Amino acid sequence: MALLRLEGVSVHFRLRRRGRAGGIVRAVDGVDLTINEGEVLGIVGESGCGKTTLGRVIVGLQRPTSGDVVVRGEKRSLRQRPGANARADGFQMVYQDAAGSLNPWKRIGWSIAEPLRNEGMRKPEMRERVLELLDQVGLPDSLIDQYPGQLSGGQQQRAAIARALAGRPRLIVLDEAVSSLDMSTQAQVLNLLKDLAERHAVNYVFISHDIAAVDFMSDRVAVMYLGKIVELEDSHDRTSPLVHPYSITLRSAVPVPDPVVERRRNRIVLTGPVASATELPSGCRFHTRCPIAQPLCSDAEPELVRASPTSRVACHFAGEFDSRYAATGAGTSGASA
Amino acid sequence: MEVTEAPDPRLEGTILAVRDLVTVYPTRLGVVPAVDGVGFELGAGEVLGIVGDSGSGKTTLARSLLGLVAAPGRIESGEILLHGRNLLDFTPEEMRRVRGTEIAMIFQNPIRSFHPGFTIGWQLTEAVTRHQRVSRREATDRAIEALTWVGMPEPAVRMRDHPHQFSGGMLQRVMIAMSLLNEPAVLVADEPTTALDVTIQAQILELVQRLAVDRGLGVILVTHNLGMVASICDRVMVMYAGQVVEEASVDDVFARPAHPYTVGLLDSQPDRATGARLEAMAGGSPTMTALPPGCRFEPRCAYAEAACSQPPDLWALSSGQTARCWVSKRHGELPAHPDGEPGTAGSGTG
Repeated sequence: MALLRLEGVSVHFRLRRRGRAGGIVRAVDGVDLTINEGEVLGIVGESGCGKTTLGRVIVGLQRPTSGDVVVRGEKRSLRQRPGANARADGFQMVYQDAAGSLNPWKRIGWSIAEPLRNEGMRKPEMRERVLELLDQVGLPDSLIDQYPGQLSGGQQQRAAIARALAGRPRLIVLDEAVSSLDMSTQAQVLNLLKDLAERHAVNYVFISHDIAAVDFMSDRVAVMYLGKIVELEDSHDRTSPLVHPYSITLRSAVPVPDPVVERRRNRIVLTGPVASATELPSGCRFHTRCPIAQPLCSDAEPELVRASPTSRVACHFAGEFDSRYAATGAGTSGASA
Repeated sequence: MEVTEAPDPRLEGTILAVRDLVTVYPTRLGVVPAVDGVGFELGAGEVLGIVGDSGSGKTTLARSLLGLVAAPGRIESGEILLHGRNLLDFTPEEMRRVRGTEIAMIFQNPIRSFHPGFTIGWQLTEAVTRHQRVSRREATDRAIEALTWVGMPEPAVRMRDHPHQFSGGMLQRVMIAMSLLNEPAVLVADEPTTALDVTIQAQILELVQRLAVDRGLGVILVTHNLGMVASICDRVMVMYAGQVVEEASVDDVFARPAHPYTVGLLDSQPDRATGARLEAMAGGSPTMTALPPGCRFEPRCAYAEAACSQPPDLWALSSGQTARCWVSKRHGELPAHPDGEPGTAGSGTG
């Protein structure tokens, strides 16, 4: 059974300028998404694409403007306070800035125990559980009485993960959870997250701008652009490439740590203007930057439809990227329609 | 300072040479050697990557080159030779000229590097008239020309815009244009794309590489991103706890890393094809006020042996690489597996 289903979820923010209504930011715009039991869903996209807002909707910290959130077959009530939803569903969130999510004036043990206190757990029992959690995330017992400022960045992020695990959650949304860490520490924390998923049957939604980290962590990947999911994998297959022009560009833009590969390949460089979420372009949202855009793309908005056995794509020309891109003169021009 | 003697033959083709540079920060817990005896040379048109974790001293090194170390930090000793002249002998006023005209720096966050209240055009032309005796009109022409070098659409129109009217990527282009205005010989770029989206990152990298090739600019790229290093650098210097632990051509570093820390960095990269567990390095960087007495990487190192309790030097290996490692010195290269149990660095706490 699906753990969670989003049905036509939109989150629009009204801008205000000097007390008067301004434009509307369509942070999330009509998203359908299913999270199955026992899988890691990766969400990748650039800043401003709405991935964090979508993560907050999933956890229950953000109420959708329209659309339904269905948790284990039951529609989530919109009348509850947002935090209460997250607690009731057993969902947790881990943020990028671990230092900022731990109270600097309280000891690590106190912060990790916070969800346990909310459950009404008694003190001796609580200490036992916190020590167990520290052990699970690979932190020494002695840290229980230390303050966040005494910990390294990697240790702080481990502590934040321990707190997320405290209430035995069904789902943890990891929002850029390793992005601020050094490479070597990042690898340690990614390994830890993988181990925890296997041992504790916890689901993750792994949100990041780093497509390499998303690839590594996820069973399925969703690619977001300006509030929409433009490509969604529905099965676990690392070998089949993504096909939306934006997904292809995103992967091509990330330099590979191998000089031989880097010298050989032709990077796709986008040239068109970046559209904003307050003034969305007509038709396909990516058409202003898309290297293979056609007149059709600025007229009609493509639906998310099946383009390959493993993925659904919102593009009028899905699967035709290579041939069409070659026709533009491969790399020298990338002008939009 | 005038150069009277014949130029050092070792500096043939070299723009910038740094020798035994030591930059320290006094703290309550003792003096921290943030940059501890670093040396390198940079040629025209060459892109040198400086890689390391946060706290390894790479940013302090970059700032030392421009005389921008924040007090109470100070450069303790060493030489920074720009075209053979030691910048450490320069007065603050002379250093200001060097920064404007000979070594330029671009920073991680472009929006913080401009004054929000003035137009881009005003700020660019000021950078010209500060350092050169030219008319306002000519300065404007040069600013517009610099904006075209970095691929700014409609440069003459954008000159009238304020910083907040640019996207992050466009503003980083403006910053690069500004750094090129007085035709410097060296460009120091400290994490120039970290604050930018990946698709924009690709554009900026391509630009920096093109400038190095076309204009013979020596570029120092400070980054923690190994992909970026592989894509545009010619040589790489790996830093750990204030010291250079390996220096080599970009191909050598990726094909046969000679220092265990470099191996660890490369193994930390997620591999898309397999999704297999990462070979993460155990532990974290040492505290700079309580450094290990021998090799600074020894406590985390899977290759560690008895000799490692003594501080190693940066030795040249037969492959042309240099590495600060007893094990690679003994073998002439770093063996495929540590002498102890292989894979002991696999699990870790941090």
